[in-house]
Amino acid sequence: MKDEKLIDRRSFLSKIGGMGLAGAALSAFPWMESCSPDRNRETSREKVRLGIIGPGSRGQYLMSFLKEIPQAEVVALCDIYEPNLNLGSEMFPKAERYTDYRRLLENPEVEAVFVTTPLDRHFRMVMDALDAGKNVYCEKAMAYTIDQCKQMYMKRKETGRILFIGQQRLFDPKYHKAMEGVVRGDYGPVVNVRNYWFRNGDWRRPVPSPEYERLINWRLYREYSRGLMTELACHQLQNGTLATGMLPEKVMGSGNIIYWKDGREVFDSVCAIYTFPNGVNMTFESVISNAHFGMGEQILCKDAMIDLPGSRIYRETPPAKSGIEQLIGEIEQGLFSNSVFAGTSWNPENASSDKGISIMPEADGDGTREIVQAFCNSCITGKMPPRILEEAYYGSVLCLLGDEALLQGKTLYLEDKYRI
Amino acid sequence: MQGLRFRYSGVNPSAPVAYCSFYAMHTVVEILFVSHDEKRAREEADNMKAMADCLEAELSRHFGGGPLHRLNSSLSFEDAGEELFFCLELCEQFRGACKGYFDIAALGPSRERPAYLLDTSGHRAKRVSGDVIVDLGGFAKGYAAEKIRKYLEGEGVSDALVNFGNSTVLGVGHHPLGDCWKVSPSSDETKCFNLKDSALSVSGVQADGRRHIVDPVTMTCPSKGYDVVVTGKSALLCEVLSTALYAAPERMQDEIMNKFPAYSAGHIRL
Repeated sequence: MKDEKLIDRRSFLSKIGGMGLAGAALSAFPWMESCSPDRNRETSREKVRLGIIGPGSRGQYLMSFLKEIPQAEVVALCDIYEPNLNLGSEMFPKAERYTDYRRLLENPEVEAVFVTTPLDRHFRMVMDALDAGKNVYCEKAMAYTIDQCKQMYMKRKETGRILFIGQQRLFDPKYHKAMEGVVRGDYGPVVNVRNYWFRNGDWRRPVPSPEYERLINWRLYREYSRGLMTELACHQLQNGTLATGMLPEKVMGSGNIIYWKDGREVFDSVCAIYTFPNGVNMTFESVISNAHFGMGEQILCKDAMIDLPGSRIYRETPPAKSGIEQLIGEIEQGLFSNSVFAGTSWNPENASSDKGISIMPEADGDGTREIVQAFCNSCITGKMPPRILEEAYYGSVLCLLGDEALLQGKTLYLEDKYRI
Repeated sequence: MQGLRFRYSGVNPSAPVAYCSFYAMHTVVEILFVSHDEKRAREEADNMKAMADCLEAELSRHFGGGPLHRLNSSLSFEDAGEELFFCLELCEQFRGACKGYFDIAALGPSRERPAYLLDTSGHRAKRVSGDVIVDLGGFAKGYAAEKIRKYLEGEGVSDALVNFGNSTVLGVGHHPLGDCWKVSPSSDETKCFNLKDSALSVSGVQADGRRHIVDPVTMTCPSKGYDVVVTGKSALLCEVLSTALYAAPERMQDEIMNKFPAYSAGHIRL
């Protein structure tokens, strides 16, 4: 059963091989239809009335896109921390203010909510919102535990509402373009996936007085957060599943607090290895006391390395700069001149400074605008985009399973009951 | 054919040309040749690539199962096959003519020479010790360039320019609009070599600064402030001589070249 699922998905992705780029993009990433120009036109005369639960830093970032999206109207705000509520009101002065999300959910004018709160609250708030008949956009990771993710997934199916998880890379065009080539096999088989995120900072937010420490710096405490795995890895682990068309079957790793020993409870250094059924490994590594390597997501194929955030392809055998091909053009024009190219022998290692080939130089943004637009469109049409929740679900499940492996110091397997 | 790039242009009716490129012997081979028949030119390009692939299998020490790989893996007499055997014989002659500065066994730590023994009765060869590594490297490029020349001549192609990774260039006949093929080194565009049924070879440190030519006498990899350029009829001999001259100390260079009066050598200062 497990294998059948894998093969089906892979073969589905492979079928896009003969299609044109636009067609291929929509087939491999069918949820992109939900923010296509056609869909935007279809919904352009309507608005979805939105409530924002948690207009903190991430909430405000999403609200900045909502201000620009014609189909969005923010009518309610909720936060238990007044300064954030005030900042939200500055952006949407007419929005009604709440300090209890349950009261906001009772407001019949609110059709959909954004849940941008600490991780531990996602589950209860999303379940309540779906029960209240609201459509929901929930920031990643989906929930605090794998069980909760599964329950949320089932609840969405049961209610038939829209549920998006804020995995914006799923809507990033340059990721799609690179991934299409990988899935088509343009670069040979996938042999490794590397994800890393290095920063140098304590990951703290300023706190006005000590009693707000845990509320504001919730990311540092186990009660609310799973740390680097849910905040960072969650974005990157889908790279492996999209590239290989499979789910990892196991994960092992190590996590420690090595530098920021300031009372925090989540790891400040993690390294996790996920292994796919065919033996291919995917790593996630993060340290927040050295930023040298920055952020990276790399698909290693037999014939090329694909740098996703850098949007470049590095061929294993980069094309040599031709010595004599330009002669063709000169001969066509009737020219006889000298060719300048002779020198010491060219070989592929000489090209180690190769700058790669840009995948999509015109692409900008990180997919956030697109995912927010897609959510608004979906609320208006009432159509849940295909496969988007499944992709997001597995992104969350894998990061949570990884964190469990780090905590237990064991190799953990993805249980069949969590496969959807 | 996989890995072959091919272009044809008949835009200039007085000079229709075909161009092909492919990877071989750890570098890129480019061939531009005059042809009035695109289909035939395509077949010729395919054949040249196939020929280079076959030669690589015969002459590369990295080709698992190939005769040179076998030779390097064994201390017994091994069947080298006609082609490799011929190359090994030639290389031994060149080693002597170049005062030991052209040496296909220079990579290994063994100083015993000859480094391999040849059994002329059956195209068999063996290394004299396990420390010997036989590497045909640049020799194979020059040899392949000559094979391509022979193939083109057999096909009736009278004018072509063959480029093996920029370091070995062979001008067959002349440019369709001129009386030779003009080639300049990228490190000094003011110099121009007119190739007409002749070749040039450049040796020096690689573009990324790596030293790869071993001085077989001192067993070090020299880095000089110049590249060596050798011109003459045979691409193979140009390749052999430029390698030997780069490895040899300056005082030995004239002595080596005196044995090859039909060839010219010079330095390009970097």
